[in-house]
Amino acid sequence: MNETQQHSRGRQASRRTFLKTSAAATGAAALAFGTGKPIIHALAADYAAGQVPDREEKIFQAPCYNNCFGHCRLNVHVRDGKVVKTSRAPLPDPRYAALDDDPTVDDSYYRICLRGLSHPQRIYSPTRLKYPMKRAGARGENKWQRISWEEAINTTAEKFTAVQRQYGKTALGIHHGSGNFGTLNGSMPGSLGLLEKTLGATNIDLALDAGYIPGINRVCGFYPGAWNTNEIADIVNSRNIYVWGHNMTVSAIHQWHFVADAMENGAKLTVFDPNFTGIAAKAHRHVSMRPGTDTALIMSMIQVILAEKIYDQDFLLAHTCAPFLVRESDGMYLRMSDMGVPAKEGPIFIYTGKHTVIDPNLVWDTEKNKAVPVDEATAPALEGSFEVRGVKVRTAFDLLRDQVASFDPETSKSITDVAPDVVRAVARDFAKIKPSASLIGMGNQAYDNGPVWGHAIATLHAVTGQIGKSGHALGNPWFMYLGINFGMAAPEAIACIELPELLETGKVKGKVRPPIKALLISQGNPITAWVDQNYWVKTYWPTLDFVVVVDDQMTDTAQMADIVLPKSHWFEHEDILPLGGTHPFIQHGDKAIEPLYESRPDVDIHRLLATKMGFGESYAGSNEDILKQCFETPLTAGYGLTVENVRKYGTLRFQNKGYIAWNDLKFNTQSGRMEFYCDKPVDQAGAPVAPERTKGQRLPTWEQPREASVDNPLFKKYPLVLNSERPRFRVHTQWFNTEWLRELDPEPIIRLNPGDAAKRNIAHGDYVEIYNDRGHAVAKAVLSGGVRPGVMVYPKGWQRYQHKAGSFSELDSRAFDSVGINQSFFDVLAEVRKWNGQV
Amino acid sequence: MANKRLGMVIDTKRCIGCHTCAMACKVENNLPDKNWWNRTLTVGGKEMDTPSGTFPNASMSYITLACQHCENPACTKVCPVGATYKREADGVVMQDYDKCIGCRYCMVACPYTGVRVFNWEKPKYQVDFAVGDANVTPHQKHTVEKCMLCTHRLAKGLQPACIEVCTARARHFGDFNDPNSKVSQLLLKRSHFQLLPDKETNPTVYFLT
Amino acid sequence: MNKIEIKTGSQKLIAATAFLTVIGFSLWVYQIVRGLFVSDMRNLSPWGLYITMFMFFVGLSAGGLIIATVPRVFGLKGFKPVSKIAVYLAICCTVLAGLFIVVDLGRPERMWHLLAYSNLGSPLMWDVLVIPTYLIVSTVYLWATLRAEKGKGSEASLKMLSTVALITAILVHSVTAWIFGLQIGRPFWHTSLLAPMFISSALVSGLALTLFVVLILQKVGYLQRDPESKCRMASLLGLFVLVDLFLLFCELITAAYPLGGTEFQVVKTMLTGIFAPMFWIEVLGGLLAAFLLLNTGTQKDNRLVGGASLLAILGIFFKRYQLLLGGFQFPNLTHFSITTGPVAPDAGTWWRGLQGSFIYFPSIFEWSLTIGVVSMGALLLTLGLKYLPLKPAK
Repeated sequence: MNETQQHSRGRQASRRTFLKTSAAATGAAALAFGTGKPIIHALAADYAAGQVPDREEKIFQAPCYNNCFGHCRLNVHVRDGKVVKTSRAPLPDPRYAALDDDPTVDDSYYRICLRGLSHPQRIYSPTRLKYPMKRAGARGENKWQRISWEEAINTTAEKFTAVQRQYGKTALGIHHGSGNFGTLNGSMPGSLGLLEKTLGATNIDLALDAGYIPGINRVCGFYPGAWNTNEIADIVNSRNIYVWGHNMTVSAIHQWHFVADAMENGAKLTVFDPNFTGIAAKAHRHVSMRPGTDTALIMSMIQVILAEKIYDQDFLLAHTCAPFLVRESDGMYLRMSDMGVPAKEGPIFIYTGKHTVIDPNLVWDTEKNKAVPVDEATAPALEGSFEVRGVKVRTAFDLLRDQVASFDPETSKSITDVAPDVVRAVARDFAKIKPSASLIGMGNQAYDNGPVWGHAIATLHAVTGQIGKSGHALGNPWFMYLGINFGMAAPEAIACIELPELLETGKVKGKVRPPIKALLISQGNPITAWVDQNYWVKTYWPTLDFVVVVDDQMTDTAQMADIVLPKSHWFEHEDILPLGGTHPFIQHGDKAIEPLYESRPDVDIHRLLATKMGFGESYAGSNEDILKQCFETPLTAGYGLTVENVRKYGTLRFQNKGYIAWNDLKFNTQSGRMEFYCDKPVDQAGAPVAPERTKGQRLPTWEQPREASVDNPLFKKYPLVLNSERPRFRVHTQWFNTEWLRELDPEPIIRLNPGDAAKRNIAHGDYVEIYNDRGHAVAKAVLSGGVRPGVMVYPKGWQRYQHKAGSFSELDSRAFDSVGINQSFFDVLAEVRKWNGQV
Repeated sequence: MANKRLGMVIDTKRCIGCHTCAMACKVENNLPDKNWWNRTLTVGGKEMDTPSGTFPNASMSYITLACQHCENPACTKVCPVGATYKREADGVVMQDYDKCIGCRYCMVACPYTGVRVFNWEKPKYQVDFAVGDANVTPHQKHTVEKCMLCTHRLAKGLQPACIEVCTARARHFGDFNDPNSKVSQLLLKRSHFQLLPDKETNPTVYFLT
Repeated sequence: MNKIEIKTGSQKLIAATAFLTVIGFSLWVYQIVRGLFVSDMRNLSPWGLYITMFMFFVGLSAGGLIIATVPRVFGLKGFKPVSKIAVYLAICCTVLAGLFIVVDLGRPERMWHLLAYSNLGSPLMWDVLVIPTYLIVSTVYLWATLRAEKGKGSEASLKMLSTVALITAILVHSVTAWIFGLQIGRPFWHTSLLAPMFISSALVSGLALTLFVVLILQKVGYLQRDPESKCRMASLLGLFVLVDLFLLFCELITAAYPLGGTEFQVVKTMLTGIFAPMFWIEVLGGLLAAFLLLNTGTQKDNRLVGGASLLAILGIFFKRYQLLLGGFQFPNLTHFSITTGPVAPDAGTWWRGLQGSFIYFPSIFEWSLTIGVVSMGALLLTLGLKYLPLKPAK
């Protein structure tokens, strides 16, 4: 018997022992997490799913650490010291197998994909960065000189220290992308957060894919990371699934099989997307709207539901703000503090560590015929205008109805281009078929009106009571909490899209602060991943004194660095993936092989840098110590999530099987209810929105996309909306030069509607130039009847050199919404023409 | 013991054309550059992931295509040296690299477009050591190769590499001669088709609709 | 024209063809070392010019033997003066046909597998058996003819041998046709008419080649002019061309009449699609050749008859090339997929651009190697004419 098999048996034997202790730990943990009752399950990392090690082969296990949110658990097969393949490793729900001794294994979360399978090629890529290098030409010229680690660290430390001395500590920016979510070597608040904290640097935040979070959180209450929704496996219990701006069969392929199961169970699938996407091809119904107009569509659905009185009245009265009284004068809620009962301090909110406020809302009790605190009402009024102590008030429900009144389906058609009978049908289905679910992708938040969209979709769920039970979903399951030590973070953070404001005015959100003069970038490729590439390359980068990029490939961003540091691949170091992505497991990652060439794990790079800069004490401990320091928090400890346990069991489930979000219907808002009316709206960062926007953010509101709107004068010049797709061949820009994937997907393409192409005399296979005032990109034209007329779609994530000319990122606008504080990748107008061959 | 009739059932309602099965095959079998034994076909427009018809009346689906392991293979008949043959015990259509004389008649005879590949030169690889399973027969220049249902895995009691990786849970493998096997049951329950039935080859790969 | 000139002329020809043969051999070695990648054949078009030339030369080999044996078998007035040359021509063509198979093989060093692991169900195996037989029978027949000239052997045994040779010839063409025609997977090929058509085409190309060679040999004085038998050969060729065209017509009308289905599409492609130029050269050229060959006025003109013969040969070559391409041009599964295996380089793009897009066009390397192989045939022919007693007995 070889080592691996013994190893696996060892794990098997100890599984039961752990489950006993974990049950105790759970019982002891009094923390309410979400609204579920989490149980941690240890899994034996046996190789049940059909992996028999070959001769001379060792199998390790590690997750795919990147940001596709699949976070598949992989077997890493090592032969002769080399990674020869990866395979699907078990990530089972152990409750049946372990607790009931049922041999049936639930393999819901066993997964791997074409990218995960191509790791051998990534590890042994001929273009992998092998040693530290310094720039030998101008920035971006891509000329390099090999240097020693010592020189690299010395120079970096010297430059960083100089910048911090001259401009202030926070003039050093640390930016991390989402390329690796490991604790020690990734972008989660772990070792990198420790470095930011130690150096007093500014965290340059990604500011992307978060556009509708303020909107949803406004209604459901703050939730760390993103939103709280049912475990994806629970979607099989849904009877009516609405998929919004989410081409999951391409961009999140591991979610599809759950939806397919649901359809086999009889669920009806409706896809809302301007374009006929892969998932639309699977759907019973595809609703195509003008890009960026979904908010108007949802408001129209709400209008239908309210007008036809098919809302869930019991739910509205019991679990939403619908009966709350709102002062007509200033739009503020009428609370007990207005009646002379001072607000009290409530218990600590675990996600923020701050005390909550107890200041009950008032509702109109129709039996008592007066305003009473919500908890005392026996017959709260849903509708009506009242006077309370001389103050004119109305119910929040009335205000919502007024707000959507002008969005009847006939009128909304002029905005959305969706037929009225379709709007009525989808509205009625959503109200009547229970349970209904909304699975949400990144499409809708990619316009500047993302926050109001989030507000609207959450409101739709509130008025129909479609939340808190099995078969519901509002969002997409992002299990990214528990293991993340939010205490391990930079003292200050700026969103990357606020950098231009800082550069031009010396202020961020009106506050003076030091400029950013040096950057350390890791796990990311902002030059390609951020909007408006030309701005960063031509305007912003020249203002930086010094840039260091840590990566394993010479990305567009690495080319813009002064020093490039080679990092080890995921399987070349040990780590813990502290989040589950779309599954509820925390995973340990084995170190399968030694780092290749001169590459080093991120944590070692952090240690070298901090030590050289005189802050060695932060990294005085071993990597083990740092891992514990970063991963183990009171929250995780309460659930038995220790480094020891994660390492011992490989994977730990931190949610009940079939986790249901908000299943006690206690929301994280001040009132504990769904507050579709929000008297004090806040922005992405939790700050109150600007006074002039407050009124507009209190209820779901139709806002035009900033740019991608037919009403924009620019539309005459650039009549096509530029959408992108997250292709299965890359994750953001990762895997960009993995040849096996390039054999499937060799070059940048742009999908055009055949009619739009014909108007421009563009034929299938032509190289075309997509352009607007900000820049251009050249790609091969693919005519697709699936593209909505007036729209173009490009699969994203190519490096500059892979385009014949330009880059898609040049075309995006860096204007952003002050509430969403988010990069709007789709809010872009452009035009296309045959390429004339010029670069 | 009765002979097996090993084959696959692929659910086109579930398949999303993600290429994961193709990649698993590629790595497991250490396929040379550009060679694919298993591929994703878009049933729709003339490019990958494009539908037939135009907006809003479009439709699109996928099939994955590899050797069909036909009951009545066209290829085994024509091979002058018996380098491609059907295994009696389980019906797998094999390809013997050591016997093959490189005449490519089997590629000509097979009606299923592109399921066989010929190494037109010395096999080249992106990674400079053999990846995938250690028991895979090394590839040879100027011989024909194709899917052999991962016989090296069957020998270990495992399913072919493309089955378990399927992200859509659309692929099933089993013995059609066993009426209780999952694949047999699926054929009973669901409507299905075989590719190119008019070629009279009777594939052991079925597609559910 | 005196004898010296012929001698130097043949020496030059021997030197030139020998040189090209050596080059051809070197190219073959290069192809084995570097890989068949140097051809434009790829996974979706696994056969190309080499197999086309195989088919073509099998056909060319027919003429000689048929001219030599048919009259004898059926007791008709023959073409005795040219029959030895015709048979030798057939031998050369058969050798070339075999060589093109070898050139096409990926692993020629494993050819012994054909004997060791024979699969007798394979049409290719049938050809492996029948072509050497044909070669042997032709050689024996030539040997017997020469012996008969010297008064040895009986006319009866020669007649017997003729019958065997004729049957073998018919088998060779049929078997070669069946390599293609039995393939249900290739609609373009799958027709029962293919074997008869191969025979009729073989008659056309074989006789045309013989006639052309005879005319040349007459011109250079190797053979005596014989207008009467030339005209008879021309008439016969004209007739063959018409028969071949008739069979083609039968095939086309059967396929086209339903005005639908795969076979109709095939006809459309030939008549108006990307094969149209080749098809119409074949048909119109055939009709023109038939006219020139059958018309008593034009059949006297050596240049016109020579031209008509070449036209007939060209037509058959196009027919072969088109047949081969047609098998691959229309894949059964047309859904988009990535191409497996390497993609053909852009050599021949101009040609593809000229007429739609062919799935395959021979690379310059393939043309060169083919010229080398054909040169070897020319060398064999020249050597034979020079050193073997092929001249008509005085």
